[in-house]
Amino acid sequence: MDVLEIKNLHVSVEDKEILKGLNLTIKKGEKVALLGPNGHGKSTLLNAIMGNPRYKVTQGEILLNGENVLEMKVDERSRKGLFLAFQNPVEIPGVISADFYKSALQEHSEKRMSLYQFYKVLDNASQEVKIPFEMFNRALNDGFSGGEKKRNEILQMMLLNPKIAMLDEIDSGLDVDAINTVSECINKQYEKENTGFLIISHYARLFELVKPTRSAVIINGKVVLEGGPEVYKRIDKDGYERIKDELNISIENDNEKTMNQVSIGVCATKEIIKNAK
Amino acid sequence: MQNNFEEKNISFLNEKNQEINISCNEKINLNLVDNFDGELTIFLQKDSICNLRIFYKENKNSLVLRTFLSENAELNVYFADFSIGNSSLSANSILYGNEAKSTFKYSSISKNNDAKNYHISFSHIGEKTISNLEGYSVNMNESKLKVEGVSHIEKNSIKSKAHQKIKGILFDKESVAIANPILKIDCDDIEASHACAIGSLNDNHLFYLLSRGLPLKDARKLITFGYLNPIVEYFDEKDKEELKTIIEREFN
Ligand SMILES: Nc1ncnc2c1ncn2[C@@H]1O[C@H](COP(=O)(O)OP(=O)(O)OP(=O)(O)O)[C@@H](O)[C@H]1O
Ligand SMILES: [Mg+2]
Repeated sequence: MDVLEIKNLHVSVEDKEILKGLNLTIKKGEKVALLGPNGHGKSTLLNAIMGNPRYKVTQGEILLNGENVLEMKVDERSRKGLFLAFQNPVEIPGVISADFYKSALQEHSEKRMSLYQFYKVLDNASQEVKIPFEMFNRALNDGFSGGEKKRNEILQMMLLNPKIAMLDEIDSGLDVDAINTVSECINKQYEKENTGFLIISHYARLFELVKPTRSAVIINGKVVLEGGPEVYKRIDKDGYERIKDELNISIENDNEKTMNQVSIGVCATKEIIKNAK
Repeated sequence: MQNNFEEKNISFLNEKNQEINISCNEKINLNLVDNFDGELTIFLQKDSICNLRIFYKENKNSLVLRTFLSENAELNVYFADFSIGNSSLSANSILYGNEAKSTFKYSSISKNNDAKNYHISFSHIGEKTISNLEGYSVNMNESKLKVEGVSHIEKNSIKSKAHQKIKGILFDKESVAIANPILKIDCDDIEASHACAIGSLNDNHLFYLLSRGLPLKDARKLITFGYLNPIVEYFDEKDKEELKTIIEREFN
């Protein structure tokens, strides 16, 4: 069974430590809702898992089925089954989407793929995400609207069929119909392949549609709270203040306050991950 | 390309200097491929259109291009410098007729200590004249490129527009690309801009492609191809294939 384990992960960006001993495990068949206040390290975690060179792992481990992910090159991580849908997908001038997808798909499959096979797969996927097929003869995301870019990320997820799919605010900027489309795609992928999902969102709407099996909350660069779907529901209702108070955490500001050693509050229904040290 | 265009190939085999006169309302595609070291002068009469494709392929090339645009004349130069070795080009466009329009687009690859030099200038004299310079370059293995773009809008050239956009990728620390966009404006009522971006391959673009499973070499190739590709569409089928083959070759 596929499992992604993150152990005591410390990550710095431009010499500033953002993740400070983060622990999290995602298994195949799980949909984990990842929440946390702005700027507390959610995207940093996903970028570090995918191997973005800007994010320096200074300590800790990332394992995919026991294999050391940190030793893998970025493209290898993808071929091993990790996928990241970016919070802000880039536009790449001149790089034709269809050409790029074909190369990517080829890298993921053992057999040589014919052009016919490829176009069939792409055609199907484009119908699922409701982006006209012709758009893929244009440069990658070039002139795409914000919502189209997001749907384009989902399309690539479907093409590459990852073991663990990480979606960074896939719902931001989507209109109501598009949110429905995107969640249908996520649900189909889940039902068909039992893919593991790590889903970042600030809104309960998406979660209501994709029905996470678990929730995890990142504050100050650590997972401070894990639990079932009730956790994201509570955050949607009460915000982070209550949780913070219960766990006796002060949310760090940019001025370098030393973090309170997190003491673990009583929260019967929730499993609380012990902080390192 | 467009319909109703006469096709003509220019060769410098017999003489060093050439002059071409394009009469009123005439539409012509001129093709210039390799083996030249000379001067080409083109006169565009009223309402004429000329598309000039220049393809530096194999040898050392050096061209001096002078163009004169009469009223409402349109000149489009598409310059692909994929040559091996040093090369140079100097192009000057004089827009003396009202509403004359001159565009210069280039794509260039330099490698193996090549030194390339382009000087592209526009003189706006007539009213409502338009010039556009747009260029993309790739430098590898300690090569050098120097691009100077000069747009001069003279005193009476009201309501004219001059735009320059110069972009370049450097593949190694030893390569150098110097871009020097210059706008000389002697008239108030005009529109002008220049943008210049030279740097290494965009890290975010690279990471995006890698994150989808493309090996580094393929990702670099795809980005570079995409970067140089826009010029390809202006060439005819035969040259298109050749341009693509050359870009492929650079990465294998
Ligand atoms: N490339 C970067 N360069 C500089 N600082 C960065 C970079 N990426 C992240 N940071 C900083 O790291 C911190 C965490 O950012 P991150 O993007 O992980 O937050 P987030 O939890 O995803 O927030 P949001 O909910 O707003 O997306 C922030 O202070 C941010 O400014
Ligand atoms: Mg984020």
